[in-house]
Amino acid sequence: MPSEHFATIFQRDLDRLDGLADHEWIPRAAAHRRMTWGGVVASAAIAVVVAVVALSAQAAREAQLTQDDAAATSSPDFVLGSQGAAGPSPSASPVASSNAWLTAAPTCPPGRILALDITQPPPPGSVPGTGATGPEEAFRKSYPTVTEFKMFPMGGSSVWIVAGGQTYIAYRVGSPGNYDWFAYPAKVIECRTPTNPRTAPPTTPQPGGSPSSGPKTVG
Amino acid sequence: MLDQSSGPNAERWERLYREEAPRVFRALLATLRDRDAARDALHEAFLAGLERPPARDENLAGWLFRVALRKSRRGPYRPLLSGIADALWPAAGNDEIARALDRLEAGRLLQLLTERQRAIVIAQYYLGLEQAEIARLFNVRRGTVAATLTQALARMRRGGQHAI
Repeated sequence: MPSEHFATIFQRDLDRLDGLADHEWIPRAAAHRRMTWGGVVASAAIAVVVAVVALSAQAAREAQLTQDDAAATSSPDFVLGSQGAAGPSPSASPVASSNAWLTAAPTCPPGRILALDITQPPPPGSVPGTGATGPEEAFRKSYPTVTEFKMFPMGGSSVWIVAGGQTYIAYRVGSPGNYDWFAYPAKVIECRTPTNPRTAPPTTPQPGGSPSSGPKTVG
Repeated sequence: MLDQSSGPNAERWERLYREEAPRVFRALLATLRDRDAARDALHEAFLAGLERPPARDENLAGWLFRVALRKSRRGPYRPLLSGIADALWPAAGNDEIARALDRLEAGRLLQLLTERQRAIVIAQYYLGLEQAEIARLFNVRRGTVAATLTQALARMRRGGQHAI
């Protein structure tokens, strides 16, 4: 069989394979797109790194600050979680249905860290340098049709955003730069105990944030 | 995702992508024999191009094919994780793909080859790339491409005598 014959066979046969539907050619929104296993691994790795950073910050704060000081200090600490995989601990109460943090940023009692379910974009994810210069700009850029929203500083480089009954978080990705702010949909899962997040009884996050974290209404 | 990169370059890239994507998707489908993997790999290549487009428009199909294949097997644990995923959530669509390929002479010939051989054979005989282009795209020597093609053709000729 001459090799030219293979070209004829492949051109003829492979063009007969079904293609993709029109809506499948371009990647869909993160919430509807099947995440690749590489993405799952990358997301898990990011979650672990964020959790380690959060735990370290929590431990340092507990050692150095009084409870009042801790309450007054705006805390950026949260860990990424999901209702399915990482999930709340077995005795966790379903706190995501509460509307408490539609009027304030969620916080946890001293010694607990906040677990959030954040809808991340698909791979390659948010690339530092391609975001916005601040949380408000990041939110407007990601959700240009939402014109009315409230922002509640969570401290550090995190801002809790509420718009139309939906909650979001804006924070910096990567090293601080000019365009590193991104906004994502976020829901509160629970307050976790750093020492044993799977077995410790969870605590429902309380709205209110730090005393200095008053809301900023936009729109 | 797209609205963060909107602009003339993004629109141009999307237009170029849409011209080549149908052919590249079929090439990926025949290589990977997995519809979801082929679609996801193509999407990854599209996003990679959106972030950093290829320097030249020529051989765009080859660029998409190469990037998509590389994305499809990224990470040392990918085969293991894919195997677990397939066991937990078998993709019914892949049986259909396998049946469709088995009905085609090209599909039966390609089944005789390894995935790497399939990729190079398809790059040459379906996407129409020259051996030098394939070598550059896959970052291998031209001699490696020629040897792989020779082995693949021999397999297909041997197998074809029985299977076709």
